[in-house]
Amino acid sequence: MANLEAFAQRVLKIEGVEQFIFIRNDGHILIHNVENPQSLSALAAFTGLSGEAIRTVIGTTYFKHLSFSRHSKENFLIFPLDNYFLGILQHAEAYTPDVVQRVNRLIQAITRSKAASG
Amino acid sequence: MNAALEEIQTIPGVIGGLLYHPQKGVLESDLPAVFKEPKLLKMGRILVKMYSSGRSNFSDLSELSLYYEESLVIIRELRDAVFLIIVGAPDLNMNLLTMTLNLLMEELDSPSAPAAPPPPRTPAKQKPAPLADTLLEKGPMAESLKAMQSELAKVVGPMSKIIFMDALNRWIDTATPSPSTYPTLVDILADEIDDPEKMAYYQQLIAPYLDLEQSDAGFPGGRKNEKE
Repeated sequence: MANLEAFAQRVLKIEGVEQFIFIRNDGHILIHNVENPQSLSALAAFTGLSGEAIRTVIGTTYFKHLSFSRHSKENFLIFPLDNYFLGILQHAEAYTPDVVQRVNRLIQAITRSKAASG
Repeated sequence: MNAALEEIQTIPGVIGGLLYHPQKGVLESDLPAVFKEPKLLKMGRILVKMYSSGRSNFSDLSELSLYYEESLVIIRELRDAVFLIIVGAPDLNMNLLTMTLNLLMEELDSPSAPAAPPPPRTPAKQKPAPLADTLLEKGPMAESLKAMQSELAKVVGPMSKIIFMDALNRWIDTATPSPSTYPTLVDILADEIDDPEKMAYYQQLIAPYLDLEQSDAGFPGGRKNEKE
């Protein structure tokens, strides 16, 4: 649990992140600070897995992330992370490519740290 | 709408696009020949479901984009339940594409035009948006349908609500919702679940809720017998 809390703190420190939800790929919620966790967890799991399905259909490789763009600019981003998905609700004023880059940096840091610890 | 595809093709980084309708399939495509029709249909179906799921959470959704190592895929709703799907290279100029799409939307007088938020409808529905919700909330079938939705969660987990609503919409589009067309709904759910073992388990779970209404209609494959 301490690791999850630490992870949540790091996510919330990312500039441009308003809210987040971190789930297992079966929709089980691990940690979040969103107002509607049940519906967003279902959305993240369903679309995250579907993103992988599209990958095999069009024959491409690595699925990086997906983005629900909204007129309000509070876009919802979903990132795959091993058997999990990280959903990010960004600030309306944030520049989405920058948010994506910062989140990816965090994900890469976590992946490297996992690999280093064996 | 064909002109829309031609115009988008001129943007650097665009590999091609297609116009997709959930019931009619691929309407137009200028993607390379390697994207054969079965692939396009499967891709369209999955993308529309993803888009619909997003719309049920975000009524102001304008676009869904998927980013891969070598490509990206974008889907936008046009009008009359037609979707525009674009496949592009990673270096696709998104600002230029967005501007072009917004201008095209205005020309097409699309419900997704940026001037106003789109109406709260999912693209797969051809009937007024509240109908699926109405069936679930009130009326003679509400109790059975709610039970079916609840039991579906035991089979597919937290995605059950999205899958069940999608199946309800397809049922409404293909048959007149009534206890006598429950077999059609069950067939649609079987297609959605896409796992014979899970479907057999699900049919066991829902059989008691549908027995009273199904005394004449019967299940596909003689499911009625299981209750005896």
